[in-house]
Amino acid sequence: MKTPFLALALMIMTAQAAATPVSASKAGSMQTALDDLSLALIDHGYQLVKVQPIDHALVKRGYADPGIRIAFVGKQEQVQQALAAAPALLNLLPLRLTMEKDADGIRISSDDLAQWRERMPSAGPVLQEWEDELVAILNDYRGMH
Amino acid sequence: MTRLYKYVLMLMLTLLAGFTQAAEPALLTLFVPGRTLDQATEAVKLAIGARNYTFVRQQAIDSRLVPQEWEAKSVRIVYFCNFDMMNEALRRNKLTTQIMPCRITLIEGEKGIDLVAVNPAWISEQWNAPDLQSGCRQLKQDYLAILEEAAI
Repeated sequence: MKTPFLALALMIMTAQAAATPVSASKAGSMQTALDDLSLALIDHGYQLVKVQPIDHALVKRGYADPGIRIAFVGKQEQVQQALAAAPALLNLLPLRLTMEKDADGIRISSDDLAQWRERMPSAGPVLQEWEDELVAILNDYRGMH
Repeated sequence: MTRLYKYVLMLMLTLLAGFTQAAEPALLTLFVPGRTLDQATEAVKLAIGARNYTFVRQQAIDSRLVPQEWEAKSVRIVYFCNFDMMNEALRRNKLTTQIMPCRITLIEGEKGIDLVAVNPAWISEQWNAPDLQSGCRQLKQDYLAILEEAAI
């Protein structure tokens, strides 16, 4: 009789382990959000590397507007950090932020770095540092008027 | 008692399926010996086209973070996508932006090039969205096919 309950408990634990990416949202247009995000990035030593306008790309090809853009952001030293901690982290750089238009404005969310921390514990401190910086950037973004 | 066994069996199979998914590697990698970064990049772009994906752009890993003349010469990113798949994925769930656009990282070593991609089937394990799993596993197969083709 213990086996089913043990299995159920394990399943619940697995479901709870699923992490939520860092995110922030506020009212405004995509352009305003990009401007505010750029300022927040600079304040934390980051740069906006590239914006992938998925919304424009899809609309141009006749699809519905998904209201999505991807912002690639980073700092020069992150490449060296990745090489020192775990070269696999190069695949995360530049870091990605998803900008999503919703009914209330623009929501910006990061990739799920917790998943990487779990898989690569030795790179945990670097990933935590990056996540902390993204949290600070998104907090600033949220607070800008 | 038979019902109990069925129940236990069902739970065990579900759990086994979960463990099988958890065994997904984080990265899909392939080493291509004897090629330069430029040669490997061209091979990746050809393989992308052959698999019905569209090349989006290529850049150094630190592009726009350092002056162009200082950019890393040994690590390059190639971005690509399939707009039909992108549209369908976004229509289903916006979480799929975490695997967009598709990307292969090329890392030059002394004896050749490592081609590396983040495994979309691994990323999707965290979503608690079973309806997205088969699409992500298909995307993983496409990545593997592109890597294999680029290595020929």
